[in-house]
Amino acid sequence: MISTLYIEKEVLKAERVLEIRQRFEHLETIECDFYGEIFNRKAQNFRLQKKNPALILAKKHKGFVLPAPESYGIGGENNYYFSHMMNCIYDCRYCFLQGMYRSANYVVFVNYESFADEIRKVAQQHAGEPVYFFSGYDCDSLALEPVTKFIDFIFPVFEELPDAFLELRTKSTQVRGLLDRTVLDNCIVAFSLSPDNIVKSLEAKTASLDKRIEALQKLQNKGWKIGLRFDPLIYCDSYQEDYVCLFDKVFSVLDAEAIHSVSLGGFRMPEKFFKNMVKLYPDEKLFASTLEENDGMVSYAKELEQEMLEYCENELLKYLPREKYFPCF
Amino acid sequence: MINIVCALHCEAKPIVDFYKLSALSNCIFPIYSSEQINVVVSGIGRVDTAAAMTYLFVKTLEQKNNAWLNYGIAGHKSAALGTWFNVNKITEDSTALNWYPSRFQSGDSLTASLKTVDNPISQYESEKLYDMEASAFMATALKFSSIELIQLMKIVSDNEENHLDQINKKHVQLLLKDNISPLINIINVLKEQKMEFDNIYDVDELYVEILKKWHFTQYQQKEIQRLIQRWKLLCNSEHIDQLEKCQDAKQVIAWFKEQLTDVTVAF
Repeated sequence: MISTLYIEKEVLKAERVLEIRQRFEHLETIECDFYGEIFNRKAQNFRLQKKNPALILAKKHKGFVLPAPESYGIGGENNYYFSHMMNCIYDCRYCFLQGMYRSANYVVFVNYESFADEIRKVAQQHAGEPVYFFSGYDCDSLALEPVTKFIDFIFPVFEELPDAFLELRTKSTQVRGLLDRTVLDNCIVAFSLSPDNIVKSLEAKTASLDKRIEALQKLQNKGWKIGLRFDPLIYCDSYQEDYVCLFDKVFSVLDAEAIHSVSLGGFRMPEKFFKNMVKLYPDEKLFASTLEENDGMVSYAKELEQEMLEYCENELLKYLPREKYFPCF
Repeated sequence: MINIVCALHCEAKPIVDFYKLSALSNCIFPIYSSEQINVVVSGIGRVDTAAAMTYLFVKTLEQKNNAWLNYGIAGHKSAALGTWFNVNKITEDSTALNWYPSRFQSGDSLTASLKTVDNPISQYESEKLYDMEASAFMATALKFSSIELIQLMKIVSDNEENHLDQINKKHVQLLLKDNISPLINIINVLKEQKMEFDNIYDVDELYVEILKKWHFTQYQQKEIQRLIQRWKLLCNSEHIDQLEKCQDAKQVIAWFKEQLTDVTVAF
């Protein structure tokens, strides 16, 4: 899965790095001055690199916690995100990361303590109010957990901050670690879900829909707050049947009353990222379908988007109380 | 196409012989060529390397995203003479800039970092390779190609016990000839990488045909290229014979747009 290990000089001797190195003893390890020398260099092909990605261990120096983009929320007023990792082990064709980053290599920032300090500081700024921290924005929150052990580190931080909520967003079914530990009340484990045909066509390397639902069920039974993220909605001729079938499958297994939150969002992408993605994948049907550019964002034509969102929203609300539903549009 | 860059004739000779390459006439930098491989002999040092590569690039009609390989002799503190290394990091001594060639499943090939120096040295620091061209090769190749298509291989010609002044052309030629198989392996890896790249990004034949038939502006060329890609993905390449009726580029574009209107999408 990981072909090479790059390590920034500055963190070469860090305990966390030594632990990760042990796991990858068999890999070629290369020292670098700064992760950007590898990650940000021009003339890289994300698509080819994705077949053989490297892991870069680095130190982040600033921007540990950032305000979440508008409409990225689950009911709270104060929304932030943080990225201890850049890039994802999955290969979802609609993902903005492939248009945003030049490199498909994974970067893990190993100075977790700096993230924790900043999270505490931001939580303190909003003392007495709920504040939401989203961790799965530039990566999948759980997919590389066996390597990073970030959750092990960050949970105790959130245990001290009862008004701060942590959302883990994932497609990973590696939930054994969560099932084996005491439930953290202010953590929401949110799964991104798509109809079966979309998972198979556009979400390469991810767990199947059934496996994800199974993982959600186990977590719910254990008492974890779970979230469902139907985002992005992908158009195809059979989208109505596909999403009806998806919702039926999900809510026949999960207890809708006990679900923390459900969100829904259309496919949308900054134009610049979209152009990069088309260059990388000129042979991708998703990008060949009828998409429009409006105010620097690429999405389905307004009318179609509206139709899809309304349809899926109505179907969702057959299962779900409105107060648990958070549209992202 | 794989473009190979060597500093010296004696380095190039074993590969020229192996692939039976022919010398091109009237070249400022010597070039040996076949349908799949070009070898340019640059001379020693960074300036000559960059110049020779640019010369080869222009000479081969400025084809972007070809594979590029630099190989040649290098110094090392302790490695035995004749040991090949695939280079995983290059540091330019004079600027402290670093480059990291793309990694690949190299099998049993050894890897090492390399320092590019401006003058020959006899004091070797740590377990690095030393040469006089690699940083310029890397910086220049990245102007013409993607990093996944660029590789460097160095064979140890001198170490602490066997100094640089003991090397001569015959010795270099023999060293390479007797140890040629790792070099052939990497050329094969690059060929596969290049083929994979071309399979994705090669120019569409229909696009080339259409450009021959009608005149398109630069803007229209981009537009029609993408329309053809979309049409092939969504319309199963149907009704192409109707295109014959088009009088000009505008009509060709309109025809493809028409085909794509209300097209169905299935996953």
